[in-house]
Amino acid sequence: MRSYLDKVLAIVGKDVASELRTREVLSSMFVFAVLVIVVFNFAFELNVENNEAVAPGVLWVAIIFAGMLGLNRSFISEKDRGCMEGLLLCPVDRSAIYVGKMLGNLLFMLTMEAIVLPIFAAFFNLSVFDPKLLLVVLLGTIGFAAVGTLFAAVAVHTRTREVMLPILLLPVAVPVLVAAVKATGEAIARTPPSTPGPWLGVLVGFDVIFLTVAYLTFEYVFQE
Amino acid sequence: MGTFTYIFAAYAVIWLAALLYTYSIAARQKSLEREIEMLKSVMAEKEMPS
Amino acid sequence: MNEQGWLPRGPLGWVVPPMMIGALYMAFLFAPTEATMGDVQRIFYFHVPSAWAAFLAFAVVFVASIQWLRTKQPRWDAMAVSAAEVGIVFCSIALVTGSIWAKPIWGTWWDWDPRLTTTLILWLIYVSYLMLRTSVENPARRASLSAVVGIVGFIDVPVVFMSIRWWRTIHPVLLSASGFDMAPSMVATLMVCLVAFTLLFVHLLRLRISLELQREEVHRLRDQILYEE
Repeated sequence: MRSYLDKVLAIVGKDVASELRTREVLSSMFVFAVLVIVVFNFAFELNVENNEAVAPGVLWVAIIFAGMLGLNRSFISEKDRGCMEGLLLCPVDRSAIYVGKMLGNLLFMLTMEAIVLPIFAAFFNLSVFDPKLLLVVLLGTIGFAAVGTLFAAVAVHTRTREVMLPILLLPVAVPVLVAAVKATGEAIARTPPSTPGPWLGVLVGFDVIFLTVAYLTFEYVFQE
Repeated sequence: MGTFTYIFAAYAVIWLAALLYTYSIAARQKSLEREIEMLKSVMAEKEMPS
Repeated sequence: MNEQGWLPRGPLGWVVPPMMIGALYMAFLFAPTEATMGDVQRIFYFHVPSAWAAFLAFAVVFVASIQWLRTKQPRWDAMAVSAAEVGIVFCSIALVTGSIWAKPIWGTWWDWDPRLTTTLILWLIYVSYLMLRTSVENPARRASLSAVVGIVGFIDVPVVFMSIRWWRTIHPVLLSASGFDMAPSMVATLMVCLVAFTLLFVHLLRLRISLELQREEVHRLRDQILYEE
């Protein structure tokens, strides 16, 4: 049990340390997210009236596309630098790699969101320090990272690599997108709805189900 | 478009899809058979020198 | 060797065509015309069984994927890819016929109706499954990777359906759901069509599996012969 936790933390620590040195992934995720928000402004002619209606969607598209940048890198750099063999040789349950990678991805996405959210709030003239909004962002990111880490590991073994991840991930992540956008909409609404929707429940359910499924199936991705 | 045009279109789609798929399976079968013939002749050639 | 591809295999091959003719008869001549929608409603008798066959197919992918991961026997992988392919054919039929039915009833080819939308997501998931397979060369790895995706994909389906259904009911619905009361003869017609499509599905699945097993055999022989030196 102890060595399991050690391995998980070692993986997270390694990813964080290598990122701190170059900061390339975080910066590209951040810039990409901001670009998406700006591009949507032109694509949908955002103005003060349709603000509330469009804002949640814009936020989550930005998060999802920026998130995929980070997810891709989490395994591709390992494979390219030959670290994958080292990780696989350790005498601990393969699922520890999943937990470690997933936590690392989650950490990177949350960091990116911490910087993007205030910018998003400024562009859309909304308050960001709402606990409900932060909770939705957290739950949605967890769900996305849970399946995303698994599928990133799958994608790295293919010929098409980075291209494979969005193709696999986006259809499966539809519930996260639907629930997160709806819940965000409710959280930022100037007049909140009388009965809140089941969205937080959907997110929690999704997170629990897919963290479990990914945890159980991860080892099969690396079988020869 | 009249009602029957829609019904016709729907059923045409179904038959086409089923036929095309069955045809695709058969076509793949044929190419497999061609490969078997090719392999057989390669095997026969290998036997010859001995 | 030749007849295996062209002739229907086994008893099922002889049962399916008359069943399909029977289903056609029921749908067009036996079933009464529906009160509000008229004759266009008859599309329903083939649209619903197609969706059902697709769902059945993807359940087979799920079970076969689990069995592959557990036993590593090639026949399970052959079943998984075959079911996915046949499933996509039926899923496409369901989507297109649903769309054709929607046009005269709702006035639009597409509406983000929960069932139709979930079927679309289903279609996307299994198309991505097949794309994954073409992208991996090593057979064992290809089988394992697609098994993982097949398992995750199937478990996702109910979650997708529920989330889209809530999305639609809380959002004001622009077009009402296409419900209608079914007379007993209509129910009977639907049942016959369901059985016919299930048999068609099983038949196509078996055809595809035998193709896959043959293909694996040929590849093995080819590797043996060509690379024996």
